[in-house]
Amino acid sequence: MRYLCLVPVGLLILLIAGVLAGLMFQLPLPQSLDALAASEIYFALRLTLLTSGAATLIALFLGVPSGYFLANHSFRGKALVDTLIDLPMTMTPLVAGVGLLFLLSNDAVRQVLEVLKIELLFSPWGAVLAQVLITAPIMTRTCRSIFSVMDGRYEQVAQTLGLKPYQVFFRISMPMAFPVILSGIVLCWTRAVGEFGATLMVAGATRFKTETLPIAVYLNISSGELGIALICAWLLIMTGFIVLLVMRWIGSPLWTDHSMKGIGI
Amino acid sequence: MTDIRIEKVSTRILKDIELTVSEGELFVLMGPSGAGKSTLLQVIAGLLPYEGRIYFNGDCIDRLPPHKRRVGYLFQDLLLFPHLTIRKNLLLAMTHLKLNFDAKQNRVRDLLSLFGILHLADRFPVEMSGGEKQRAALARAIATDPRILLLDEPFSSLDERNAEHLRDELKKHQRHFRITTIFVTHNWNEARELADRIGVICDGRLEHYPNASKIKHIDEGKSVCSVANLGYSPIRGEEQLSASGG
Repeated sequence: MRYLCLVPVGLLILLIAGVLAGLMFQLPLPQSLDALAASEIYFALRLTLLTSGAATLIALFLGVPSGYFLANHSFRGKALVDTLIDLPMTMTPLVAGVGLLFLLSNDAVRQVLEVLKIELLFSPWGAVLAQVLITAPIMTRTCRSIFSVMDGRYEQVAQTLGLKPYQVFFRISMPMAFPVILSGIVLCWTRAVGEFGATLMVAGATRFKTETLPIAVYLNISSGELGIALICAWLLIMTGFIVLLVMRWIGSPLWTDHSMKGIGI
Repeated sequence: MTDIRIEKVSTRILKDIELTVSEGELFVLMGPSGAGKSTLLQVIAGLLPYEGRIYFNGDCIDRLPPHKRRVGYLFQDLLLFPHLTIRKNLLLAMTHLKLNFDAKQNRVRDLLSLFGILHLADRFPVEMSGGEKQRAALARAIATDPRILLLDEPFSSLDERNAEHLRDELKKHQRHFRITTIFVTHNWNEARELADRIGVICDGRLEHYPNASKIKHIDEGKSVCSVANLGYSPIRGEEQLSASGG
């Protein structure tokens, strides 16, 4: 049985290694190194870091309280709300982006945004919004999972120790959930860095304006600039690789409650 | 120093509970599983809704949220915060106390010394033995400067030798701090050793026994609810109030 399992493992490794090799050896090394000088790469990298960072932060602020609320409260229609919040995770990002594009193109919404002097369509903020749409449900789901398995009696003890409800949340619930929330943050950020479909629809694909790394890959493949496209692709791959390494390195904190191991603490 | 008076408290499990615990008294509450012992403690702590009235020193506390009741509550599973060291567990319990940082640190040191675990101050709960955690949880409950102490089967997970040792310590500290205490247990030995007075909850109703020594020879194997059938007539209501007063 052991040797039989090695076959699918080997096939999987071959497939992944083949993809990586394809990206690595498509161009001769000198040509790839020449492409490194393109300022477009650095613009795309900077914009990707900024938009994904902002989107992750917003997803955190939306997802943590939403997850906490959904984990701790029952109400009529909760199943519907849960499903609705999970929906963007199962939607094709391209379709989610089309929906967002239509929403932002609506006259009433446009007028409100104009009054507030907020420019979202075909701007970097549009990319942030598209990434939030995709990542906030991930954060909400992550937080809902951890808060729903956390022993509620810790919060009760904290109350009897004289802590006010907001102190209980920030000093007990949040720190106890932190390792899982941290993994949610990393997951959201990785997802935001690689987000393409929704970003393309809402922010568009304009060089040196809304050009994130995935958009740069798309634009440069389309225009035959393989060198820049491949460097950007490698930057995306390296981001994912480093994140996975860091998550393994963080591991479990010393105080981890064994009852929480099942959900990834 | 605080006395507790409970008047006609009812929940889904409890039925018209009447109880007075005097200042500094250690009242032991017994009863079979599911009878409502822990429910009564949670009601006193404000963690469960209830009908009826509860008074601390004559002041009605029904409208006070749990964090304003100043109740030291020791859960059966102790529930030391796993992400904090023992020192920080105790410091957290003093958040509401109007003491400066140094005074709080000194209080932590004094309490940990008193319970013999000062050397474990910077350990996480996961790094401690059952008995050590028990002491730490008790120290944390007392660190809040509680008006009353509610102990929910705190020694049930310990072996008899450790439990006996900790019972002695608890009795000593309870006398030292003169904290009015309600102690829940299944264990007759524990009840006899600790109690100033014993109450038994059966089917949500509370029956009182004014003198713990009167039930000294009850077999460990007897169910607590069978006590009433052994000739030790419980007293109720007004009788109980006068008995506790005496």
